[in-house]
Amino acid sequence: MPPPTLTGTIDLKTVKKQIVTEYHNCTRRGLTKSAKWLAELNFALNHVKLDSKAASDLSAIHFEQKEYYDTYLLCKSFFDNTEYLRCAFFAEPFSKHCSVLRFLRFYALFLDCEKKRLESMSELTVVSDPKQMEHLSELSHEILASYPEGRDPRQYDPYDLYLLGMISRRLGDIDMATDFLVGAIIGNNNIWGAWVELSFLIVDRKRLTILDIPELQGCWMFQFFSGHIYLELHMNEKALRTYFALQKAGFHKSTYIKSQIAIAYHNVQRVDEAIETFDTLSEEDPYRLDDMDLYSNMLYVKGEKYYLQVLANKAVEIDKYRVETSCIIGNLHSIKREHHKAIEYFERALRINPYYLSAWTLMGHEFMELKNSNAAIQCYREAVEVNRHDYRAWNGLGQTYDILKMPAYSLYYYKQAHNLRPNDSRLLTALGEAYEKLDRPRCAAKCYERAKQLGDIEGLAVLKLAKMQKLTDPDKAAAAYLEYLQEMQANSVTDGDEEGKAHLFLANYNFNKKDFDATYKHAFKCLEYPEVKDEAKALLLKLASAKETDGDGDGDTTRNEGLDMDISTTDDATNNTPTPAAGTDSEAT
Amino acid sequence: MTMSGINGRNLRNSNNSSNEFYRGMVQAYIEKQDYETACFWADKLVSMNGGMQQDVYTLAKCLYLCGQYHRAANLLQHYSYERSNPHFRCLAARCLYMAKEYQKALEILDTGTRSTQVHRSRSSAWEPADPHKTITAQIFLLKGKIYEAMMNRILAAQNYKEALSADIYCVEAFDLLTQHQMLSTAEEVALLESLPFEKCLNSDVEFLKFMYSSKLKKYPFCGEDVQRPTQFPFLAKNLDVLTSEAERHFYNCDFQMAYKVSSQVTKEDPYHVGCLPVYVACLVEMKRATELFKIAHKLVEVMSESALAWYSVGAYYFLIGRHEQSRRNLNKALTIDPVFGPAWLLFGHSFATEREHDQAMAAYFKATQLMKGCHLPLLHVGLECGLSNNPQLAMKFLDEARLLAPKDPFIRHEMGVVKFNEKKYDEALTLFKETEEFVDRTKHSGAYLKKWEPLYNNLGHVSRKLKKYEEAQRYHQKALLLCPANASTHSAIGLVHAVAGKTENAIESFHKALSLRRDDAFSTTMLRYCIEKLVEESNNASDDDIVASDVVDASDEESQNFAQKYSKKKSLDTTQNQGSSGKRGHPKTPDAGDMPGFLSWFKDSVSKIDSGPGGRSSDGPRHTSTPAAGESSAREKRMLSSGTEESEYITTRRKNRARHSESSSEGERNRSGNASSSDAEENE
Repeated sequence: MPPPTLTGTIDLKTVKKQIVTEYHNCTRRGLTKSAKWLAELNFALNHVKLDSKAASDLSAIHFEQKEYYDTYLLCKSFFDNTEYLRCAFFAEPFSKHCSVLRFLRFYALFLDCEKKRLESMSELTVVSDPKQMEHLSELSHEILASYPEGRDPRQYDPYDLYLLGMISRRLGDIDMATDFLVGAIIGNNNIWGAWVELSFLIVDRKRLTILDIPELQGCWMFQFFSGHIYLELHMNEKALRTYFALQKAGFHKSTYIKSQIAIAYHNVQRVDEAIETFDTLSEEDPYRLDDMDLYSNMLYVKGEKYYLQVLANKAVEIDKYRVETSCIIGNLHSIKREHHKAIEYFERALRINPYYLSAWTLMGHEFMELKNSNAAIQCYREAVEVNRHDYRAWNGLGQTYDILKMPAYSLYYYKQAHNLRPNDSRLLTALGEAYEKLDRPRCAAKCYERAKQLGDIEGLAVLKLAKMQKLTDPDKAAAAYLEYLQEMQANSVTDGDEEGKAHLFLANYNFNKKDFDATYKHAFKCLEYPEVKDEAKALLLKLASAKETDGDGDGDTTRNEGLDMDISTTDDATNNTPTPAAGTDSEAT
Repeated sequence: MTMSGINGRNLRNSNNSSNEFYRGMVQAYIEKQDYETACFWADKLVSMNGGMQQDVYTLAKCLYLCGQYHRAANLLQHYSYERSNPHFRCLAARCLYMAKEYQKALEILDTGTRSTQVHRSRSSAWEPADPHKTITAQIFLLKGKIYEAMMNRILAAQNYKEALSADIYCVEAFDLLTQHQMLSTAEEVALLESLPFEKCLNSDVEFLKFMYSSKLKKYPFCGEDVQRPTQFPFLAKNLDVLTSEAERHFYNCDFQMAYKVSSQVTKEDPYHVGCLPVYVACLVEMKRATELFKIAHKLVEVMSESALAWYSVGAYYFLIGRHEQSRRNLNKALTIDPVFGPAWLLFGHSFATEREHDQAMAAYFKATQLMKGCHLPLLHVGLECGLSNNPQLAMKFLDEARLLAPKDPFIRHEMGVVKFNEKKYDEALTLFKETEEFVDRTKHSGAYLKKWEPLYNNLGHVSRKLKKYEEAQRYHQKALLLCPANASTHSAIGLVHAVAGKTENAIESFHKALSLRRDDAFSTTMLRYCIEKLVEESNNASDDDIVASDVVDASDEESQNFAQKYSKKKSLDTTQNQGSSGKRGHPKTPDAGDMPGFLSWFKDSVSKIDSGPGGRSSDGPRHTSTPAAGESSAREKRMLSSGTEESEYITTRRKNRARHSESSSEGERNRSGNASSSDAEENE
């Protein structure tokens, strides 16, 4: 795992120069998303002034190969009008000589493939059909064939490598994709799209080692990326640290960093701070929709129906047909308990972009609300297919299978979720429950214990731990029960049923330990809870007889039961006088 | 005095000169393609001169050119010059041949040959002006054609050879020999060697040799680089040369290139008969239905009398999966030309795709007879035998096919599949490895390798059977690279992981397989087992493993337990399997070593194997296996479906036994469970 490095300070002037150059490269090649990202970042640096010579250099970046300029203009305008095949056709004759035209051609073909996929999609799914795959693999072969044989792939044009990486990822060839993307980034540090693609390939923390390449880590872009990947992998503290460092280094105006920080806050359950950050963000840049659906998730969690409504109205005003907007409206309907409508909107989001992760997960939740576990499972699966980092989808799968009474499956899925977020006590508790259902008390206990250590959010782990250990390890169980009772007292909440059971267990436990005082105390407490009252009475009788024959050891159960009736009369008396054990003892006799 | 009287006198007076005049005129009209007029004047000439040989010949020729074959034959027989003059014999036989009176034509030729020697010396015999002065080659050629039409291919081939040795420039004979698959590769080479090149009139031996050798069978060179003619640069643009280049590309499975070259030819000459079959085959291979539709339409419009046109219509319907119509059109093609081998081959494919093994086999056999020198029909017969569980017979046919095309990797591959089914895994492995060598040796485009995806999967299966799990895994990965998003490859990988004890990885692979094919019963079953096993493992695992995210690697012991557990279950299943086999038509012998799941799945994989090679190899040199090409995918589907059926069967059986209270996950999913509302927390 690479350390969250911030080696040296970032020279903002150089950075700015690089950004602008790269911006031109990206727009020229139709990489609009990367270009937008760069432009935003550049704008955040507008306080950095370049000297006039450099500025004029940058504003006068020309197309290098004049002889292809006419063709380029034609192809680019076709490309911009989404006439991809036309663009590819006219670019073809020059694809061997002009790198920009070549990239434009292949990228157009790639986008055409994606477009066709979207159009021909009969049912919502991210699993691509084999025919599309075939087109893609043909495309990748064509790109490779456009280079002379025997040339080191590292020497290829970085943009081509980026494209190859994207295609390889779609084709499921992760290693190849990684190689291509790393090659692309080494060739040109500043292709943000390549970094983002690479982040999809780092599916768990172990894979972070692929970043241990000095060429990757040396550049300023790496810090943006490391923040991004830490966030993806739920290493939120590190992400926050990275982003704070970047802000300090001069990117304090960047809206991107702010929204990333907000997401990180949200991930570590600091929802209020996250909401606050988003609020300031939307003041600065009121028409920004990026990540706003995450904001709506937070509002949902807080139950802020009113603010959610406002946000939804605003989003509709800005752009009705954005994925983010659809998700926000979906959330709004969900909070109003209109689940069918919510599903409709999530579906709409997915029609626009089937790779939109959170819509899949949220749709799965909605289906769960409607008790349609079948559809929910499908949604969660798609979500996991899109991005394996999504612990909520894994967790959803676990829950659904739990409901379907297939604990073995749910165990597997909870485990996946847990692997993604090893420090989330909720997931550990769920994992423990799954073990419990599968009759693995030892494993379950282990999970609960860990959950307890991590600061159990829901406060259930201790109790469960105690229950698990009842049979295997009474000592620990007793400790856990005690802890549970203390906690309940401290929080001044009550759960009669469970508390009664806890007392009963402790009474029995102490009885076996011959700690009669404690036994008495707990058994006495039990009498407050109707469910365990009778048993407590029996125990008290037993206790009495045991005390009588103190030396004999354990009381004889059959005899105790025989005494059951007698003691019932003393019931009220004992209740009224919480005196030391000896007193009651005499009364009983 | 009437005009005719004058003319008659004039004619009689200037008999000789006017004869010459009219003869010249007739020739001129023939030159000008006005055959009717020529016919008229030739007829008058015959009357004028009382049936001189020369005039009768001219008249018959005109009638022949007018397409009045019966009349021409009648005329010639009336004058019966054919006894004495081979030219007459040839023309008469040709007319009868065109009129489809094969027996009569043969009789005329035969009478001639018997009496030729006698009459040859007679000086009275007239001969048309001809620089080569000999017609023997044409007579042999005609005879060969007649024999071929009468389905006597051996005699036909003999006659063609005779024709060639009589006249080395007689390309038609060579074409018929090679393009109609009458000779095996070795025989073809021998023929080329034996040709009397020294008889060449010009000093163009090299040229002739090049032209002829470019027509030879292409598949012995399978995998070699396609060379353009360097010695004869002027030929680079010649359509025939380009066609043979396209054919070679096709045999190299470089359909892209083949398509490029052949479409170049068809662009220049849309009805180039030599190139169209390759072109059609490419279109089928590349699944370009629209273009195929277009060309088929055009061909039917333009040459509805040609078998090729209807063949391409059949190929189109085959491609889009309407086999009924496909067969109807192929029938049409076969009525026009009953010896059109490729149509028979496609016929077989269309039956095979619909699982009509017997009919398919019959069609392939027919093709075997017609295309003696082509290994494809044999390969397919072998394949069908393998499918109907007759490995010995299958091997026999495949061996024969290998004799015809010793370098063809597909045959080897099929043999491997057969061996695999016989559980001779070692042999299968060697065969597959050999195939792989062939494949690796060639320089390949991606499309070419894609055809070989089944090979790598099969290598994976065999390696797994031989307990080389690492290798198996590697091979499957390679297959996955060639054909990404293939559900059965994913489940194969899962299987390897499962057997090797990497349960977590296995689960992941099965998940992937299921995401690609939701109703894959085998993966569903295996997934359930693996998940159960994971739970078992977790029980034994140390505390750290439970909580920490490490993947639990099963110990060897555990994997053995796993195997034992399944082998127990298996024995039950196989018996059931056997019981069911009768109904399903694929009898299966109980398999001692396999898990039940494996068994069923394996079937699936094998089929795939079959489909792969079958699909590609199907082409004959002439009509390179259009059929085969299209076939692959269809057959694959077929096999897969049968595979899933089987495994489904097993799962249902299991369910009935109710070993596990919960049915397979898929089934469970279908029943909508009583879901409780999900935690609100989840919505964060």
